[in-house]
Amino acid sequence: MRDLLDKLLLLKRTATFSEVATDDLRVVAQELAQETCFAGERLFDLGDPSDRMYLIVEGKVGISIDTDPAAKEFISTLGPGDCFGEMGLFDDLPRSATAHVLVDSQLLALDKFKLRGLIVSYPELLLGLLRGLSHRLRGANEMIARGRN
Amino acid sequence: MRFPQKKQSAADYIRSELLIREGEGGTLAYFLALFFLLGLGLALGRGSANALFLKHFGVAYLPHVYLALSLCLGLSSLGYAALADRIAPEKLFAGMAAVFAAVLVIIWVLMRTGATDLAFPIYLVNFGVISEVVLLHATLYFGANFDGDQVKRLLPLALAGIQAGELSGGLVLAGLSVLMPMKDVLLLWVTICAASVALIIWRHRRYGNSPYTHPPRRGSGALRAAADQLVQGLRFARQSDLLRYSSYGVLFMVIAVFTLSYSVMTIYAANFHTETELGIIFGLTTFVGGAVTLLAQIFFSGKLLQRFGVRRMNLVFPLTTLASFAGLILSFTLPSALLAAFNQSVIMPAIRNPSRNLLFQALPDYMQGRARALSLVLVLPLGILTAGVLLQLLRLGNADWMLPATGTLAALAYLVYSAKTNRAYLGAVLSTMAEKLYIPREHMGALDTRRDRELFELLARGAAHADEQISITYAKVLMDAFPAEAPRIVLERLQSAGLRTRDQLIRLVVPKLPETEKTVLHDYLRTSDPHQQATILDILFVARDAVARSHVRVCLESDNPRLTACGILGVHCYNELELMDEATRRWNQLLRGAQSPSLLAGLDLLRRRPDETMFDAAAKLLVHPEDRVKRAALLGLAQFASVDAATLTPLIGTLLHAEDHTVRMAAVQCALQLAAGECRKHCHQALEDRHPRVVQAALEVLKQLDGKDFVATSLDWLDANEGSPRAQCAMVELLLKQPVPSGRLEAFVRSRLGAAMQIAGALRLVEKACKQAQGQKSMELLALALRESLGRIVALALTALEGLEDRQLVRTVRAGLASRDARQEARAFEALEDLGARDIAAALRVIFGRGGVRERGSVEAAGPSLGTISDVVDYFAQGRDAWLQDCASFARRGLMKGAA
Repeated sequence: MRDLLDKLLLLKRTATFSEVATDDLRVVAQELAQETCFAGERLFDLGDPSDRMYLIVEGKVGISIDTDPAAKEFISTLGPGDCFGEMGLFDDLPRSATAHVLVDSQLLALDKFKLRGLIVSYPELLLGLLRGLSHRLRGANEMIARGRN
Repeated sequence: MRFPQKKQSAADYIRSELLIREGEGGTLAYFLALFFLLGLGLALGRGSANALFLKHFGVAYLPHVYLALSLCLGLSSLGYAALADRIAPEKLFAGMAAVFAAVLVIIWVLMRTGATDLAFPIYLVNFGVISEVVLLHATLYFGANFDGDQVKRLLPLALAGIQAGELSGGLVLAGLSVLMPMKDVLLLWVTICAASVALIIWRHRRYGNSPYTHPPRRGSGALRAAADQLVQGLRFARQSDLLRYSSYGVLFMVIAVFTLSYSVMTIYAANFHTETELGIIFGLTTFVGGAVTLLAQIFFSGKLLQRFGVRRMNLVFPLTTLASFAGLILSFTLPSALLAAFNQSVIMPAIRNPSRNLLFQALPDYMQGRARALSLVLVLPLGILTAGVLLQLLRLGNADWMLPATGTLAALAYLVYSAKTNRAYLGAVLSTMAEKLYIPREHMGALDTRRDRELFELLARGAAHADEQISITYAKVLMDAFPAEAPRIVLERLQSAGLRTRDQLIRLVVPKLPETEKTVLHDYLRTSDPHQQATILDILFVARDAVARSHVRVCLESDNPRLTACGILGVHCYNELELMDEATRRWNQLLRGAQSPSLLAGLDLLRRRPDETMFDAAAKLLVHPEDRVKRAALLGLAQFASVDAATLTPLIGTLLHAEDHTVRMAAVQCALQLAAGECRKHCHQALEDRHPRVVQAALEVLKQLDGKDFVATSLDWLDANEGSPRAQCAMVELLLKQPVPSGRLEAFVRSRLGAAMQIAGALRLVEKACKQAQGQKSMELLALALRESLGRIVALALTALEGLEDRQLVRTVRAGLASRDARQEARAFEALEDLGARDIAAALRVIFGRGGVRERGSVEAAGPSLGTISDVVDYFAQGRDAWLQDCASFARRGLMKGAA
């Protein structure tokens, strides 16, 4: 139970799942798979198929958009509680960046087909996801407006 | 339950009395200080300008000053409107103070050097302009620092700062009149302006810009943009009753007030002759008026507005203005003049101005600035101009009674338009919220299809679209909207459609096809695949088409399961007695087949033509590995007149937990075959399903089960509070489609709000515990779950409220409360209170954390007292909500671990 609730709280803190009700989120948390990866590994390369989203439980992951997957110039470095690869859950487009494991890390992965299966059974899950995406879009719009002004 | 209350400190008491909430004190103190300076300057300006003008020119020239003031006010207001959107409110305030200070210095130099006597009327006109523009901007600036609800509570208090300044200014003026020449008072005003500028700069350097304001506009053409805004305001006034009536109201108010003011000045001029006497009387009236207004604004205005509502309070000033004119008609002497001055200096700032500001909050945000611009640039100057012209004419007419009579007529017109404004207010609140929150109006779907050829052509083009999915979507709408003409269009599209699309289009069009056109289906039979042939023949057999009858035997002998099922259907439709045995044999074959298509065809037939001899075969299929077969078996069995309930009960119980929601839905539908108690138990269980279609199916079954007792049994179930808020909400939505006793519904709304208040109280305790024990995940999760539960219960109560009040209005209020926009939330509360549901609004205020200490204490909630975090955890760990139970148990373990 504790493990499940920890996962649930991690999910709830991400922008994408922040608007999903906790009791709906419970079924998503059950589908999170634990992955351990080691410093120097690459979780995925730019152009790979997007098949899952990752949540960092422990460790550090660097995101690079260099066309050379081996390049280690990161546009952001993510830590515990951060999530990445979430857009691939919805848009089916190839990965737009490469993810490098910087230190030994514990991750939680959510398979996009599992999520889609859950959405069919729990339609309110989708509404929560849409609300989360909509908030992000509003945030982006506000940033653009602020930039213009 | 009464929520636990701490012993109040003196500061808490003052905050509670003055309706100040946590976090508002600092900003409010700043505005009080700024407004104090503003009031101080205005009091000195008003008294000195009037005294100097009366002494050096005389009351006879006052109408000329009004004419000049109308022109100057119009122009300066246009200038202000041009700048208001382009400069941040704090910068504009500081800028205006600096410019006015410079103008005052110039006027003082002109007076002191004696260059021109015109300096005195210029000073009076200048005061008139400053007082209007700066006071308007002061409220706008205040509104940019608080949300709508805060403005309603705190603006009267902040405006008390102006009064405090005015009364101090009055006292200072009365004293200075004796000590120094009146002309030098201008320099004191200049100093006050400089102090205001310094205060504004300090505040915004330290705390940043005003939060509730749009980024300033950029680009050239400020004046043109202001003129455009004015035109937009005028256009909006045509649509908005609130703006139109309030503009007429302001016009007549200005005429009445300026007429009143002229009368008062005439009496003063007749009674006081020297600059010092005039200075003292203006100073003292300002002091007394300011003191009374101050007390009223601090202790009464906000509370009166909350107690009586903005609409009743909006009528106070027109009535007191009428009373003032009545006094002048009865006796044109100093006591009547003092009462009239009291009306202007007390009732107007304490009651009329806050009410008007709140009325303007009902307009859409983007229109509020335009509405104010319209009032200041056009309505106010027009009113002053009219008053000036009228007073000049009355002076020429030289009849004493005409002056108060004209004022009385203007005040009457003001009263009438204020009443009309009130009637338009609630509509404006709701319309603004609906616009902001995108609430569709009901009955929008009812199109006038007879007239709308354009729509028909659009749909026809869509139905003919090359993309088959688009074509089907448009064809569906077309068939619904234009049933007489649509079949022709859809049949044309059939010619070029692929097999799958053709099948869908046939199903769509055939039921609405006129008899004369059904021959076209025979043509399609020849070119179709077996699947489509089955679709067409099915339709023709059901319609007992004579030509199609020859196909029955062929179908029955077919190897294709759908055609076979179609043949069996044909045997029954045409009552082909000699084929009946063969049909039964083939049907049994289908239901005992090894392949799913065969089973599905047989079961689909069972759904349409229930045959109890097939029960065993169908029941066995409830454990088939494929979900679609189980679903079809359930749907088939659901149509039976009677079944072996003992066989079905355990199977349905299992299938209610199937992974596929369509199977769960079918299981609910089939539950109607079970004993009433068993069926009700399964349906209540299905109401908790996470798929809305399963919930809907359960509701439909319950409705069939209970028949005419459905409303009563459902209300009993709701009162017992056995379902989750989601399940109850679904039930209430269905109940609202039929007549429900309003007393029981009202009691339900109150009981749910009581429960919500209890959760809100518990949530506050849990959030506090979260802050104290940061990182305690169990408590954080409990807070999240309680917050969600609270949201659902409030949604449930508001859904039920739709059955008691105007549905569209409640929906708009609900959207406003869910908007997370403080202004929309405040409007939602305003609308609720105007509904007359004051206690419901009060409960919602407490739930949304907007209630004051007293409000929280005065609202009773149901359930046991939850004074400590352990009470909260224990209470919800034993509650009925399964998820809250889990979260509370988890939190209890966390608490015990922490204690250990």
